[in-house]
Amino acid sequence: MTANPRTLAAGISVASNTTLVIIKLVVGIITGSVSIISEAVHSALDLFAAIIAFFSVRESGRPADREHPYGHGKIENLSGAIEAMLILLAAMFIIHEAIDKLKYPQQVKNPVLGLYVIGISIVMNTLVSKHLFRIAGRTDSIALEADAHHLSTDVWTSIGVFIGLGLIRITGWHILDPLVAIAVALMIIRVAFSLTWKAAAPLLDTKLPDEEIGELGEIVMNTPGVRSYHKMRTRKAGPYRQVDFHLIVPAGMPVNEAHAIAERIEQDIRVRFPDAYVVTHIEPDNDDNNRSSSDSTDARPAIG
Amino acid sequence: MDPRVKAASVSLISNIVILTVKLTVGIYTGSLSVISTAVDSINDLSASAIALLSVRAAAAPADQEHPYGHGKFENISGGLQALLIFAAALYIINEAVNKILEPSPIETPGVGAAVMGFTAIAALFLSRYLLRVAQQTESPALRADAYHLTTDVWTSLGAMTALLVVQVTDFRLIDPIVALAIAMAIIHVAYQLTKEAMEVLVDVRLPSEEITFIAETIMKTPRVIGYHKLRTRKSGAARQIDYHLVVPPNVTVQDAHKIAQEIEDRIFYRFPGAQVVTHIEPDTQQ
Repeated sequence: MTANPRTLAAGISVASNTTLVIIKLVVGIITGSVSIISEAVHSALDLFAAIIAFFSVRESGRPADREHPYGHGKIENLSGAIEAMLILLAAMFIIHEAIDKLKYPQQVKNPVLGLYVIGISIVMNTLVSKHLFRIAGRTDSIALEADAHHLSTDVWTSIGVFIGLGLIRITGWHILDPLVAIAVALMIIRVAFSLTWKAAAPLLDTKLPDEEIGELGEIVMNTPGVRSYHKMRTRKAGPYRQVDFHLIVPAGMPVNEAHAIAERIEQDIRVRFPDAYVVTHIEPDNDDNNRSSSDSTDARPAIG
Repeated sequence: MDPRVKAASVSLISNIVILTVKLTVGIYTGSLSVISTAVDSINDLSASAIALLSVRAAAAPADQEHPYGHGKFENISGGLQALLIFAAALYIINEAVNKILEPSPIETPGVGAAVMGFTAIAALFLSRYLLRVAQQTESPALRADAYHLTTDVWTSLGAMTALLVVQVTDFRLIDPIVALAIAMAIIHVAYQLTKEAMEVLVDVRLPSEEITFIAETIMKTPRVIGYHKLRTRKSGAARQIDYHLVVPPNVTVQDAHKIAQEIEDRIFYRFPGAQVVTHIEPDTQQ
């Protein structure tokens, strides 16, 4: 695998999480600290999510084939939604742990080595998630964005642990640890919900944003020879846009001319949206003939 | 009323009745095991509520927000229902393992068996009805609900058999062993449903027979030279199809559009609800 920035970014996330799992396990076993070992379990969940992201960006980059004639972009949406569910699961786990601590208060153990491990974890996750966010923005990849969110919620969790421990130092109130954890978990749940929505909307074939539809309409209308258009449908699969519309041209125009216009529109759209796949349905202008009216006011169930 | 919405409503109401019966009998006889099976019914109830919401959403015509219609709501719902079936199986496994580790006496096996028998019969009729409507309307959400109820039939029959065996032989381990076996079968069903839902959600093509029919329909229409780039996918019950149609280059747009219209009508006749987009292309060989 070379040079695909999405695959590379997802690979970095897999590598960094693997490193964190190993560090945490080794330190946890050496010090015998249960809390560090449970941190390792947490990183293992991140690793699992990173692996999902890795495979989904690799799959989604493959061109359309017989089995998936519209390409593989939606694999990213599915993986993004699964990732959002994993984030939600992590948040529930945090809340569950915190409630246990509220019910059975225990002295917070504060091994210095543990703090170092959490510190390394914060630094690595911050760097990797920033990188993932950047590549996700550039390549329009929802799977990478989800992974980036996942890692950044981890950073919040770790910072929450630090703040909780710091406040306990100052005040001596051990109850602060679970309370901070619950606050962080609630923030994470919000991220998980908005991510689920963002990832899942394309699974339902939701339209593109209005600005983009406006631009598409302008490109169509700015092409010479076009009378008008209607029934434009748009949707997105991963980073790829799918567009179809009915193009209205003079009824007596030969097909090769009309097709040249359609080609021109499709090319212009791909200049603006390189990943767009456009299907143009050419339709005769009804006003051009009085002999037949069975055309575009058809009773077909096409929608618009 | 949309037949899908009606069927999903029947399922929801039946599940409420089953839950009520279980709770009433459980509380009246004080049988903990009967009350604990009410947990299954809550799972069923959630699934049928999801199915109802999704078929209602899917019945809405295409609009601004969802220009390709709302069929995929059904596929999402099928996926979520599959997850609930997984959850039910995990719950059964957890219960069974607990029973093996810490065997507890089974009280009132007679009442338990009667309630299980009632549930099995109700779930059997309901699932067959749902499956029939699901096939008629090609509804993935109803299909998932039907399969969910089918797994209930197995669970209830298994539990009933175990209770009867216990009453006769006092071999208590039979209950968790049967439960584990059934849980494996349920996981298999859940896996199949998840796989189907995911495939449709990532826009997998239609079955080969259907693609062959579409290709033949295109080619046997007069004046068609050829076609290519045929793409197909499904959204709930609706098929989405687009392709490039090759016609002679000097044909007018008017005439070419008529050819396309004829093809689209024929496809629609065979697959009601199908949405077809034809891209007309001149034959460059001429």
